[in-house]
Amino acid sequence: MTQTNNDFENKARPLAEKLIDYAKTNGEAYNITDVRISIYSSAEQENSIENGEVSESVSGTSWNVSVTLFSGGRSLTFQKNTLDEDMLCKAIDQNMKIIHIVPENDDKRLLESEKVYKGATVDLDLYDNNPPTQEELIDYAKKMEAAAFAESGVKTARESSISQTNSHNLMMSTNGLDYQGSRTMYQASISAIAEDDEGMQSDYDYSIARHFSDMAAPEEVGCNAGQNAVAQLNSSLPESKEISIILSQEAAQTFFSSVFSAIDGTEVHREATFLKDKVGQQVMSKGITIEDDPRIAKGISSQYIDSSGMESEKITFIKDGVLEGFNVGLTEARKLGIEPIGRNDGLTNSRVLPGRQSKEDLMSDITDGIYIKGFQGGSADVNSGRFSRQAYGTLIKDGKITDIALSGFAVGGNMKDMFMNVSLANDTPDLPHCRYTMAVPTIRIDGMKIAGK
Amino acid sequence: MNKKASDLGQFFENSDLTPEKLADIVTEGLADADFGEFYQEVVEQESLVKDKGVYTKVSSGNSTSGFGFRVGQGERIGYAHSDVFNEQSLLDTVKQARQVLQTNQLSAQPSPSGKVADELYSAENPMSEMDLVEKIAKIDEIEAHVKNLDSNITNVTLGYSSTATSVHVMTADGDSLVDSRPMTTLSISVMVTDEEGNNSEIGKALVGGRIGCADVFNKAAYEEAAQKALEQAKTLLIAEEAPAGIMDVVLSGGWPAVLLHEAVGHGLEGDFNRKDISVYSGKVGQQVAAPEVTIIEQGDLPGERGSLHFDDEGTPTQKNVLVENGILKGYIHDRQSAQLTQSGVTGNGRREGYEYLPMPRMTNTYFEAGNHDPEDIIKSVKDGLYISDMGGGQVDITSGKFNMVATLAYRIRDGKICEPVKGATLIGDGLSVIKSITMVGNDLKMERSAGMCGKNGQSVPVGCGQPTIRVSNMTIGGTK
Repeated sequence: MTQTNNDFENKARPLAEKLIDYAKTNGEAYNITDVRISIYSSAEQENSIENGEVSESVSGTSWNVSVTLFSGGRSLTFQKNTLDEDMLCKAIDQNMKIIHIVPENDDKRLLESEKVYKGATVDLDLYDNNPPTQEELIDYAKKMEAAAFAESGVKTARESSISQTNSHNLMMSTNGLDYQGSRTMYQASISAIAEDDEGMQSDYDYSIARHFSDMAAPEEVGCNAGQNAVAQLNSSLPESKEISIILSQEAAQTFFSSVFSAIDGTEVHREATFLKDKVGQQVMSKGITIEDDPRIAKGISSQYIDSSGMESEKITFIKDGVLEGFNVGLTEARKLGIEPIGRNDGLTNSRVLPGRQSKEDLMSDITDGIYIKGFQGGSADVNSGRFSRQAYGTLIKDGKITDIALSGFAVGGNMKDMFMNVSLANDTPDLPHCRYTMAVPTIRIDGMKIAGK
Repeated sequence: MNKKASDLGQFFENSDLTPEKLADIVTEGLADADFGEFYQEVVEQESLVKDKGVYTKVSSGNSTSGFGFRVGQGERIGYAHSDVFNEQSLLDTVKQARQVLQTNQLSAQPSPSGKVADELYSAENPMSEMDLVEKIAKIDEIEAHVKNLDSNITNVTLGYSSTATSVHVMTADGDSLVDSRPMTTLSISVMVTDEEGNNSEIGKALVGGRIGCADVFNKAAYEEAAQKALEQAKTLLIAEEAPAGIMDVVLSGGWPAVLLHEAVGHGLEGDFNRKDISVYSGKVGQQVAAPEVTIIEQGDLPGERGSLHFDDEGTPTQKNVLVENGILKGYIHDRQSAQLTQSGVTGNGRREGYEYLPMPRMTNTYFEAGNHDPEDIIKSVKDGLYISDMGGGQVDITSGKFNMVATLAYRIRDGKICEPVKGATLIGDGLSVIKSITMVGNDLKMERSAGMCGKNGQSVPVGCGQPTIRVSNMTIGGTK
């Protein structure tokens, strides 16, 4: 159930052109000044394996057409999942008639046409032209499951699944934006359940890639899930105290997501982040540099233009701990009176540059600490800075990670302090990566409060 | 909710299919299945957001429609969906879904049992009571109202969204079930900054549920929510960091039942228990909770957030007693787990939309009222914590361990509610919590406005409720 780029183009382009023409022609009476059309199509196939056999097979296709009408500073959007031209034109008629009642918001206007990227298409290799067969996909999930089962202590596995998505996107608007792109995505994951006399523990692993050939080996994914679950058996609650923690790359991703929330344009404009007025200031420990590069070939979040039509290029948000700028979309940039940055749809491929120490050296002086494997829920409020997340991991004793499992505890602190107490290991992976969409190293944060027994 | 053919019309607009033709294809496609159904949806949606005095989102006239065909045999399920509803795409979808089947084994096809409840919520389109101009005027009115409540308010964010979901389910008997499900929400978020301008906190409150736009824009309703959001922000501003330790905890009625939903409800879902991977697996008939505890899962409550006339597999919803006087009575099922565990259907097969498979999900989950006066419950605690508002949370169903953040709590000293504290985390496992419930209040309160439940990447609205409850010796993670 896939379709080629040509199939999509043959359906989507004439439709977009017709809708724009219809809205412009009929919109004169309603003072329609601009029109934006976005057409998206995707085909998905997902297979799940249980006990070596396909247990669930889900497939489907979908279309989505989004139309935004502009009348000066007024704008009104609708979305429908149909390609029916009459139905879409009727919906345009309906919204044209009521657009005059929409309150004005000049910041939502289309990007000025001189800023719209009109250069050549940039091939970022996001479409897999050699897709696997159904059998190969099913085989991948079977191998994942078998590898998890092979770990001693694993009781069962569930949701050993792999999905394949093909998507196509066309954006066209009256400021000169005309973009079309196609992407493929493969996602596999498995959850393993280990059991001993004390009870059950579960953990998971996954892989993600634009090209099937770049996925992690299924045996590795299954084996990781199994080992992680077994490692958590016999876990206990640590004591409540203040200690240094080491965050695995997995957990560090969660931590850096909070850094990005704190510099998010919407929050900055609401003045709902403690970094709202800190551009140019030291907001994180020295040595921390965070880049966002949309031009990585095969990158999960790669793009050469954003949905406003602006060119997307590499940006450094935090350099040596100093905040260089906020992550703003077009509307937020205008509200804040700054130049848009080509990130209308949020971050792309973010990467924290590696530190100088090895992971081992990073923890060598911690006599009593915790290695956090992952966070599970909780909250991180970038307005007040309160950070409180449930975590699991293992004990660090005399500078080394032990196999003493800990779980069910919470890690608390205030991000205003946490950001200034981060040190990095030198193990940041390169992007694209078969597991990480945000590349971060193992990190250390001192002075964290552990809530346990 | 009814079976009148006239309601079916909207599903067949612009299609070459008729209800009769559809029934022929569906019954044939399901003839050799253990379970399965045709599921169709037409969804209309609109939303408005006003932030810092400016409309940042105005979206009107949104719609999606599509269908899926599901066929199940034992452990195997094939599912295919499409957004184009015509004979050719239906035949393709049936064929695609059936590829997963191994052999043509004939087996019994249990039909949905039970009687569909009378009207639990209105079939009217929830957006139609007011036009867009009136809704914008209401948002402006609410914003002005909130800003005038307190001079320390530094920002107000208002969001409105309404969805009308029309559902059409057909099982192997070829009968069409049709339902119109409204869902409307008004969210009010208030930021309060202290006199020095150094610290600020945000309070949030919602009005919503299976109701229409006139209900959420009702003056009394939004004024109450605005006051609640403001109070929450102001209290958080003066609240101290929560202490850590082991304490007696009193959970207030209503929304704090999200703890029950997470820590107990998920563990009682049939799919986990059929695979023997929940802490509650194999415990039916056993004393799992304190004798005061009775837990109900009920999808046929009038007006509640998680209520449905029938679930997304076409099974009528009903009242299911999960725990009675502390004894585990049963689990909640979709048709697959009911069949594989040879249990009765419970009306809990739910899905986010036509692109997804149904699975066992909660509807409205609550602790039944006990006989204690809530005042007496608070008085009984010497040194503890009163939880008045909870954030979200997460549970690991295999270990039963959970961790929930109490957005706002108060210290209880010598039976009295004292200073507010923030950042408290409730840590524990579901089984221990329901065993440690020592008092259950007589003030059962259901939450209708909040509650979205996520499972396997699918989100559905759920209701939860409880009276005031005392739990002894809970582990509290504080930040002090």
